[in-house]
Amino acid sequence: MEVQSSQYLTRLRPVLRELLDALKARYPYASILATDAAMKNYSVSRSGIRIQENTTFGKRGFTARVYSGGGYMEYSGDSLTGDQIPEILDRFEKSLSRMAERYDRVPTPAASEEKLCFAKSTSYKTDPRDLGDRAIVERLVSIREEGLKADESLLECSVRYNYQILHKIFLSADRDLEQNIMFGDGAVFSMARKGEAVKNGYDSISLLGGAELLDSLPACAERALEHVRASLAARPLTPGVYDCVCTPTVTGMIVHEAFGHGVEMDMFVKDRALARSCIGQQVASGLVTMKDGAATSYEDVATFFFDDEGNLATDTVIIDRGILVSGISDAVSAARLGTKPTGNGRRESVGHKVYTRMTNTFFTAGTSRPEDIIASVQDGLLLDCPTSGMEDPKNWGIQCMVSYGKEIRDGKLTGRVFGPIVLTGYVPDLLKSISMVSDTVEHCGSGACGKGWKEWVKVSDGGPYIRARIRLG
Amino acid sequence: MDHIIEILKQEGVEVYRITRSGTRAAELYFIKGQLDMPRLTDMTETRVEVFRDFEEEGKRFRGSTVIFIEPGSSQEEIREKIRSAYYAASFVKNPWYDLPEKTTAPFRESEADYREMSLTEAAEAVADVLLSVKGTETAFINSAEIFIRRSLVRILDSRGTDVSYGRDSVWGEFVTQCTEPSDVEQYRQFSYGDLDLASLKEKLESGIRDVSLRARAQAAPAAGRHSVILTGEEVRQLLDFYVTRSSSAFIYPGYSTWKLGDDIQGTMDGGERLDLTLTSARPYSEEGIPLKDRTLIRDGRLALIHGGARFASYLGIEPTGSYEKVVLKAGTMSYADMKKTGALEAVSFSDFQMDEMDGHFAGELRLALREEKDGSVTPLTGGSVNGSLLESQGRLIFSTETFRDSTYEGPLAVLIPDVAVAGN
Repeated sequence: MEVQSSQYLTRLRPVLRELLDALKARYPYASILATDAAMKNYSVSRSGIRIQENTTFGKRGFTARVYSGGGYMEYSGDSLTGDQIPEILDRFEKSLSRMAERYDRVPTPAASEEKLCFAKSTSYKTDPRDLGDRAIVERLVSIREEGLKADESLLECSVRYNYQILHKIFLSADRDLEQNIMFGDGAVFSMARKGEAVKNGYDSISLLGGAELLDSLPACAERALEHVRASLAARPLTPGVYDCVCTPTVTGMIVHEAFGHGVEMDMFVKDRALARSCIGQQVASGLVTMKDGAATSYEDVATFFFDDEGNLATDTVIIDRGILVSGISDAVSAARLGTKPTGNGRRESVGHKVYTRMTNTFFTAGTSRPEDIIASVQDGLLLDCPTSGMEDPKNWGIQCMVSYGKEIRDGKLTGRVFGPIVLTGYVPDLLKSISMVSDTVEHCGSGACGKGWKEWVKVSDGGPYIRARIRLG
Repeated sequence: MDHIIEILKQEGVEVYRITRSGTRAAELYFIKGQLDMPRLTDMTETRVEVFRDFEEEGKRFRGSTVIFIEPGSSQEEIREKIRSAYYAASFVKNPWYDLPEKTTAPFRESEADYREMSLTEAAEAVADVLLSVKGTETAFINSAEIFIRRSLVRILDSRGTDVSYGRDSVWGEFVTQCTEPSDVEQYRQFSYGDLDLASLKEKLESGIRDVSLRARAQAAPAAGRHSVILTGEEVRQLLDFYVTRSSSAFIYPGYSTWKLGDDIQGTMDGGERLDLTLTSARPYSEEGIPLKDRTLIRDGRLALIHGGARFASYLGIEPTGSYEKVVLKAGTMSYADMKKTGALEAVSFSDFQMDEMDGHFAGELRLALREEKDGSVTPLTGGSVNGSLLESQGRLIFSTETFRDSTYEGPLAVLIPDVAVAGN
């Protein structure tokens, strides 16, 4: 089944056209992005049951963008009728133009767009709205009860499921685009007490699709239980540099946080990314190939057909066998840098500015079997259960945290566990140290990505098991 | 909102809460002193919580669901959403609780000192300060984002609560860069209730000083156990442990075992007892509960369990509403004396993390300073701090100097002895 168009946006389309025509008559370039969205969160826990709509990643509204005086200006609103158009024009002509004229502008060529017109939708198996709130809640309650039965010492086994249906229309002189997308994610948090501390284990799943995701949640509960048991057993680690095997989720965090943010090309414009000076250079082991794109083969929550500036989604090779070959960019940054946009201009929601943002980001598969990678380590750790990470594009410093690492001695897991663990160091050192890459790849998009400490968008990341030397604390 | 109430009543919804928040904003984005983009936004959010009471096997339940009434919705769309939400609430089998007591009050104006200015004027005033801080040829402000927001909020419920208020906020972020001897940057946020241009200017200038120090930093600290000084926003984050663990949302499900009167700091080992107060720039909570200053921790003992109506009802305590700002009593050691102890001063982290569940705090050091015995200062970068507040809370020493922003008012620094540091 394919996601249907938004009735609201269909009704609004003539008014959007009217506004666009009025802007085009006044400015050399104008575009409008209009969105409609439905997002619902379900959760069950000791705190109770919760059903809640959510507007974090999408809401009804529009952003009008114009090019004037050597740069762009934007107005975002949530309601639009024909009567409001004169007021919107007034805000461009008076308030925004006045602010723009007060300052020197960052030199910015106007956008040039090829003609493009389409309407596309993603598909799903089960529409969560058809399945209904009752059935969804009952499934979550059942998964939680089974999870708690699995280990009576658990303090908590909370289960959540979210779905989002996003409708977008992009209009400009040369473009008339529509996309309708449904994705979802789910997670299980298991908790257990260790003295005053509460340790938790977390596992999640995401997909481009509908409520068929619920079928995979029981397996998440099993893995969350494994994670909380490991966290309970964990003892403090002696800081140092270790031979590490990273699970795909930890690889994904390294891909996204340590390297991915550094190739967002709005950071190139600001002179905030070391990667700009490293294009064409070796930044990783020859075993490493990294990709990003809303049109990659690994379809997940950040899959779409066009970005929030009306540019086509792409499948971008960032690192090709160790060589940094490309960054990713939004349209304005690409215009400033003289490059082609890669379809990575994204807004948190319609009321926010566009930045260059990652989409589905991952290392591609290698040739080793995961068990052979573990067997190759004489003295090291299997790192698992990532909890947080933060980018440092300017200096390629790493900050990633994992709940625990399982000790490996003579190629075998000893049963000893250490954690929580902070991964630090210099990104290229870590990536160049990668000596084995597994033949299987996993990816997940259950979380959200911030630009610094704000501007949250849905992304997915992942990769294979990798072996690397990493400074741990 | 009247048309929503009318539909709620027509659909048989007897218990509800509606919150409408309209926010206008002016935004300015700068790159190296030049304007990247000006933006204006005008967004309204109408949140409706629909409650449904029911009984099963002699027990009373109150389910609820939250929906948002989108702008441009037709009467029929609103009706269908409410009907669906009311039906869904019958599957939300939560024990019965009452809404907060009725509160009515006239509209409360924003108390911000710039409330008479237009949003664009306020944004330009902030930008003028930003552009006035020139730095040097090698140390300067790389980029900045300015957000001036003005909100009107109205909360009403079926019990008769009807309160409304205005709120202004100035917030943003900036990045400082130093190109010599190495090319590095530092990230800072700012957040004020007033147009506090003097504090902003000081923050911008200190950002340039810090990034100049980071440019000179060559090495990570030596691996081992160190006394560590946390400053500014990280002090506030450390206190989140106490704010979260004392919330009814944490205590009711048993994530926190704290009870009123508990000595939550445990055995003291040379540290200072905590005196913590909750306060808010908002006059009302999300449920319309009037927010007044409340003592949370007195002399290291829990004086309040805070939170909204539902968990308060389950715990049999007064609902206080949720707070966004904490005030901590000033400490006993001067900031200068702290630094003289040879402790590692963590000036900035990549991303400081405080885990309220297990008490663990950690972060990678972007810039740390160590004052040597001869008074010279060694800048360090890299490595990480990895500690447990549960182990350290009896040894915390706070500075006599204080600072404040929109979420914190209290000591500028805290000295934490014996913390694991990963480094060279």
